[in-house]
Amino acid sequence: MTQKVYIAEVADLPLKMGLEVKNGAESIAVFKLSDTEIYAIGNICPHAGGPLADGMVSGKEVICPLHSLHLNLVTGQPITEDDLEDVPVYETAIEAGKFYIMV
Amino acid sequence: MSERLVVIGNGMAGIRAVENVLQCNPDLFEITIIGDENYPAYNRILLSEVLEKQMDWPDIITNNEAWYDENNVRLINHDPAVAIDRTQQLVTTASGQVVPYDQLVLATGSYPFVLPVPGHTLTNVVAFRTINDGKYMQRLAQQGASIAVIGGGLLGLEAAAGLVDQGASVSVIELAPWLMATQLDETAAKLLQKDLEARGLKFYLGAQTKSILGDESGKVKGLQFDNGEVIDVQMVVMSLGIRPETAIAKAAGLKVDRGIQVDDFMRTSDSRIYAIGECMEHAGACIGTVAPSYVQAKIVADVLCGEPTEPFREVQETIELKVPGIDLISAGHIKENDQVKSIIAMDEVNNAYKRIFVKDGIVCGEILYGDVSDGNRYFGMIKHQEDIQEYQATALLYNGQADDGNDVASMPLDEIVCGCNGVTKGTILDAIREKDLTSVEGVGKATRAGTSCGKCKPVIEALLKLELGDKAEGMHEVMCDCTTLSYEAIIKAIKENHWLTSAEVRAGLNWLNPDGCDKCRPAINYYLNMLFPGEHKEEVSARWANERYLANIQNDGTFSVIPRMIAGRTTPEQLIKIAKVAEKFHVPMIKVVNASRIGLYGIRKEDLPKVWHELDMDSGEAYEKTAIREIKTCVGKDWCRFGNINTETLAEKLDVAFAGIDTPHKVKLGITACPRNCSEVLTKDFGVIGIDGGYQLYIGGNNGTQVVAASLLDVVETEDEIMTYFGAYLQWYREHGHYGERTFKVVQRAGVDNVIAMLKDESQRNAYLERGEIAKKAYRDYRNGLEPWQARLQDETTLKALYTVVDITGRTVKEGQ
Ligand SMILES: Cc1cc2nc3c(=O)[nH]c(=O)nc-3n(C[C@H](O)[C@H](O)[C@H](O)COP(=O)(O)OP(=O)(O)OC[C@H]3O[C@@H](n4cnc5c(N)ncnc54)[C@H](O)[C@@H]3O)c2cc1C
Ligand code: SF4
Repeated sequence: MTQKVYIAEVADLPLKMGLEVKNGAESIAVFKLSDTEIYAIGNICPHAGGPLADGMVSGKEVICPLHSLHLNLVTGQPITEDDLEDVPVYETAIEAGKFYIMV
Repeated sequence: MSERLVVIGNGMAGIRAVENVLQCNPDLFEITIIGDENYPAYNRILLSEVLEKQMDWPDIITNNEAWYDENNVRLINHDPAVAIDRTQQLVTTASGQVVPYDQLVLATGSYPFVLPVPGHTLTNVVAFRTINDGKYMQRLAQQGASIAVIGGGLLGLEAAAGLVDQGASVSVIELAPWLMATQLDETAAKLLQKDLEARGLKFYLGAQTKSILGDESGKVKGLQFDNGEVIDVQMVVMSLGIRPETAIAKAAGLKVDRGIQVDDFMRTSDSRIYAIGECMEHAGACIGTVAPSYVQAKIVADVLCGEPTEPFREVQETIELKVPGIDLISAGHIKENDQVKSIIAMDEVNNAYKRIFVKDGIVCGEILYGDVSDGNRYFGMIKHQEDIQEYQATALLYNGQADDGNDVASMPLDEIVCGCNGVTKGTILDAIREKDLTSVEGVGKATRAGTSCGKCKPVIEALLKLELGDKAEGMHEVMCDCTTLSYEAIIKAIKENHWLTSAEVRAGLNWLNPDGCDKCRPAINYYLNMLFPGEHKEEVSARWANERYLANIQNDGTFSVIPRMIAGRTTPEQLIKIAKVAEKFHVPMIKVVNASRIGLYGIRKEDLPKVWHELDMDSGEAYEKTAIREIKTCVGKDWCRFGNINTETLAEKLDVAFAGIDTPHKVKLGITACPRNCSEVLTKDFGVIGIDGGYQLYIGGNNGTQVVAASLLDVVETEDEIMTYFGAYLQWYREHGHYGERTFKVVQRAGVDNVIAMLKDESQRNAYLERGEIAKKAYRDYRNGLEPWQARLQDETTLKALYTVVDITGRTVKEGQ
């Protein structure tokens, strides 16, 4: 069962950069594109395990810092390689200036 | 209602025909393309380049999905046509879709011939024709497989070279006694073989394959020759030529011999059906290259659109091998007989070979190896059937003019420059004049010249120079896919408009992707820093991980911390500090790295600030594209009995003066106290060799994927002169380098002699130096005079934004509410 978990104040999330969130063994990357548009996807790049939260954001893509694989940060889909798994996408919520993820 | 045009085959000929039709009249037809592959159209000839690591798979897509949408072209992809009903005018696809047509173009290309030896159906027996083939081969090669390539022709050798580059060990098997037997003579082939052997390829010539051996699971495990010899291989690549793909045409009752028979205007035996590219046969001949395919694509489009057009005639071409570092050209008739004689020149010093074939006093063929600079000149003679009876043999072989062989001024206007796309010199010059083009890319966009195999780019560049002189941008690179502008044009616009943020630059220059990409974002951030030091605010989110976090990201997502140790000199205090930190943070790896300092590896991002704090040492800036990535020094005169100069003081002076100034890429220095060159300074961006009574200064060396020896800049007597030269050189590099480009490339682009002359000119040198000083000061002010780690530690906001990892294990919704 998923539950809604508080992550951080929206204002504190870095803009157009990633934030790494740990949940037990799970690792999640959060990207704030603007105060009303925040996405959360799996942090582990399906290509070679790079930390996506440390990647560069370009539009709605994130580029893995290890080998520059581009992923769609809305759908979790790898763009520049096929044959790779999507990373998981997490539902998110913004309420009263606070940011939540469903985990 | 407009007529329905259906094209079968989404390959190079098919897509080009559609593009030509659209260009002529976008509303004339309702267009459907039926394709077999699972990619939109791509440039097949660049498959070799991808395998050779010159490009990546996505780079070769020529028409992405959006292109089909924008041009109202329906693409039925990954669903081959299986039948044509000519009476009803319907095409059926494998999935059962039925597509009606008024006009039908067959562009089904060809399929690779597979040698029908026992074992040819085993898994891992492949041919190289599609992206899928390439990816499959790449995967096996990267696992270090042993691979046999059967066929030592053009394609086989390109595949073999690429597979070696990917990590495989490759044997090439060829039945003929030498390589590329249809294009080369034995001498040239032997030179080629030697060069390829040096790259790691193995050859079996005059060798016949008897069978391919498999293991229990049906995978290739070996290959046996006629003489019984067996070699162990895990993959076999067949490269023995191609056969026109005619199955559906034959089944539909069209006239097919080797290929689908067409007339001079590409019409098959059914007047509503055309065939172009490798699937067709015209006047008894099939084709296997792009240039004639494109000519046919133009003819068919003209015919369909009712435009006047020329009948198809054989296209003369030069053959080149697309393997980096190997230069060869073959063209025309290259076999001697009673009428055809040849003139040969062999330069054993430079391993260069030329052979020109002459029939009745007219040049009819050429083979060049090692030095192909005259290739175009001879090809021009072949095409124009130039009578050379008046030439002395030597005059024919040696041009005498010290140009690059692309004597573009004397080239006739109707001469084809881009063979792939059939673009003439005249067309290119017209485009340059009418559309104010200044770059090779611009010419490519306007005329398509240079956009397929790319081998004519130097000629296009020469034409730009011819037409525009100094105004030509030449090979100036377009920054990225977000724009059509070159680096130079962008830098100029930023300067003129005094833009101060990346967003302003992208908006002001109509960026196609308003958010920028991973190539242009860091580049523009850098140029803004460089042009407006102190005014532009560093944009952290435009930085790659290393520069963003001030630490190098490692393959497991942890980071390395490398403190400053000028010229590799350290003290007991420093060593104790490093040891303590390493213990406290359980640093898994401590290493004396190549740049003469100590690196701590495996540190978690969230620990970086603590590590810097406890270390309390300056950053070595190993993560950044900045001046002074390293100064490699020998112990010098103080200790070594051969030393002429004191290396330590000079290194310290340079490091203190220039460390941390941001540059297009890292800058490495080397100082060595005598010509024994213990610190290997001739492959550094800037090198100093101590000699009796002075210093030799070198620039533009490199040691990486490309090894380049540095060039002598000057010999000086004092350390001050070195500081001046280096300061000016650094600022020149900052202003002219494309972001991500090392000094050697910038120096090569500008011409090393020009750079040296410029640096030796006192007034120019001083101007660079002055601008460099301003940048240095602004850079230091920006960090309040602190070194980078200390500055970051004091910047609470950035610290929090970048090095925080939120742990929500066990957390529930309530927290934070
Ligand atoms: C690795 C490699 C390197 C090359 N290098 C060069 C070079 O340097 N210079 C040069 O001039 N040429 C080169 N070539 C040759 C060049 O790629 C071809 O001449 C060119 O692609 C021919 O175009 P085409 O449209 O006839 O065939 P293709 O580009 O092969 O297109 C045919 C398409 O039709 C599809 N198709 C086939 N049957 C059906 C069907 N029933 N239904 C739907 N679709 C179908 C195929 O899948 C394919 O996508 C190279 C080829 C390869 C493989
Ligand atoms: S380069 Fe010359 S001076 Fe320096 S250590 Fe080597 S031999 Fe000695």
